[in-house]
Amino acid sequence: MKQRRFIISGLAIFVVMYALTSMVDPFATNVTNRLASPSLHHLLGTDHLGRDVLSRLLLAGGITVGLSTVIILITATVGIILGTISGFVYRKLERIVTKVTDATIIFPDTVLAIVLAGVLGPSIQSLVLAISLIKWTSYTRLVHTLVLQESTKGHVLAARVNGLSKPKIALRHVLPAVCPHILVVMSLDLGKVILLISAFSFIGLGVQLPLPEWGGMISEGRHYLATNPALVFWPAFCIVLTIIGSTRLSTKLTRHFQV
Amino acid sequence: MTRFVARKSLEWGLAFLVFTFFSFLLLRLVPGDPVLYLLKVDELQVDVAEIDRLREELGFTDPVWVQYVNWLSEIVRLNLGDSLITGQPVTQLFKNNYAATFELAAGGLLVAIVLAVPLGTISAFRPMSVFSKLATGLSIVGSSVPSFLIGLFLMYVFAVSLQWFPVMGRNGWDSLVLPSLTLGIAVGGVYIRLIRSTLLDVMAADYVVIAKVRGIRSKKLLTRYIARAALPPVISMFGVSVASLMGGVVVLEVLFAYPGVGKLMVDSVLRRDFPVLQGYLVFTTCLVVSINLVTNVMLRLLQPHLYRKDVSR
Repeated sequence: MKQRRFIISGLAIFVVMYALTSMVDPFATNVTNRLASPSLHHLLGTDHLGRDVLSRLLLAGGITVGLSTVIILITATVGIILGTISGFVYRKLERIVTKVTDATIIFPDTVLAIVLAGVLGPSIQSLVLAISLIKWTSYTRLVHTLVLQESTKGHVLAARVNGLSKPKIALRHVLPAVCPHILVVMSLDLGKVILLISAFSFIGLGVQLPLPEWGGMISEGRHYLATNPALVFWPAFCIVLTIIGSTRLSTKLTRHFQV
Repeated sequence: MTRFVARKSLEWGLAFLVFTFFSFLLLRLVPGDPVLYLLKVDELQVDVAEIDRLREELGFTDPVWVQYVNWLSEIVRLNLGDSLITGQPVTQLFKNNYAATFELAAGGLLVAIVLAVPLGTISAFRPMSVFSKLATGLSIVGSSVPSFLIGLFLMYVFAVSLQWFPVMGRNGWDSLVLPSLTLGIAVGGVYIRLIRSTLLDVMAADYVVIAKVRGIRSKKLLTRYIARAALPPVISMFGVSVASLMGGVVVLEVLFAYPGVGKLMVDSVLRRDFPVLQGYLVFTTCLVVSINLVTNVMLRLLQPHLYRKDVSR
């Protein structure tokens, strides 16, 4: 019952947001109406180019959360595959996989993101590539450890005695037990990656103009902090709210799966 | 012990080679022919024979690994090439900027330790006290508010409104206060949680309970029995966080217009100054690899029991 209400309210918010964004163009500039205070047409006012703040906030949210989700899905998939293979299916690869993860995990993702932005040009693609190139290691390590623990349990041994092939055991008996843990970490990482994306957009190397991004909006709005603090407040509010949301989600999942 | 250090050095040395090989290859990914690029920079008339001659001269006809070895031997002699924009040697540029960045990172780390060690310890021992609530608040801020927002807030309050500290730039110690404070709060939140949970784990261990029963004073209990066992996780966290510190300073340097290495890199990205970026990658690799080597050795010294082979665990 509670879950259904949760889904319905989520959908309702989504519909309202979609209606709001399609009403006002987030890219339309209007220099005569710049830095306007909230009105019926612009519910949160306009920015320094006269663009509607609310519709830009909502579009930015879609972009940031979407990118973060894509990154998490890619890296978690890589981590699950590599971790399961090295931890259970083909143990001969264990040494090399752990050594490579141990070496890669120490490298700062921001540094790689900067250099990739320099080589490929500052863009969303180079940022996604850079974060993914480092992030897969933490999932591989996590899945590896979990799979190792799980594979010593009785039901896995029983499956092996019954002559099931290792890939089949991995899919049917090991991964289902491991998945809740991975989901918890994924929901927590969602917020961390959003932090990273907005930080990079803030310094101008992430999502590029004219596309809106919360960090980029703060970077544009900070010059008007004294006269128009709302331009910084709303994107900041959105970032913090989203990250707290992702933390709450992970606590909820932890409790739900009892991991 | 010497064998351990030798083995770890070998491992990390190998990692260093692999990393630098990738950073060497990365510049090959740059769209366009580097030879044409160089000729264009010098504004020379380009003809085919000239291109071939220069290609030969610069060693682009050699196999990749020969090029890599040559490049690496230049790096070992601290020659990272010249900036494409200013023509200065990259090492020259780095000297000033890294000094500034290390000051900032050291300041941030100092703030983080000063905040986290007492707060983390108090909140483990006295979970209901005011300090414990402060610690919880700080760790929530550190993990859910982006550092540039903390910085923007501090800048607005202490530099713009109160005018206690300069808004940006780097002149004198007072320009270091706000960036270090921001970095310290952002990093310190993570430390607080780690210190608290580690201490709680150790305090529940049998030998600590026994020591308490034996009537050992709480001060001695903390320094001799608990702190030592709580140190290894904190040290390994430290090794990891130095890497994230090097990333974290970039954003703050841009925010406070602080002339450190991060600012230099962001400018180099926008000017497409490839040798500087490559040097940055190599230098960061060196730094991260050596810090991890030191961390490994320190952990080995603190937890000898984990490495003993004669005792069954």
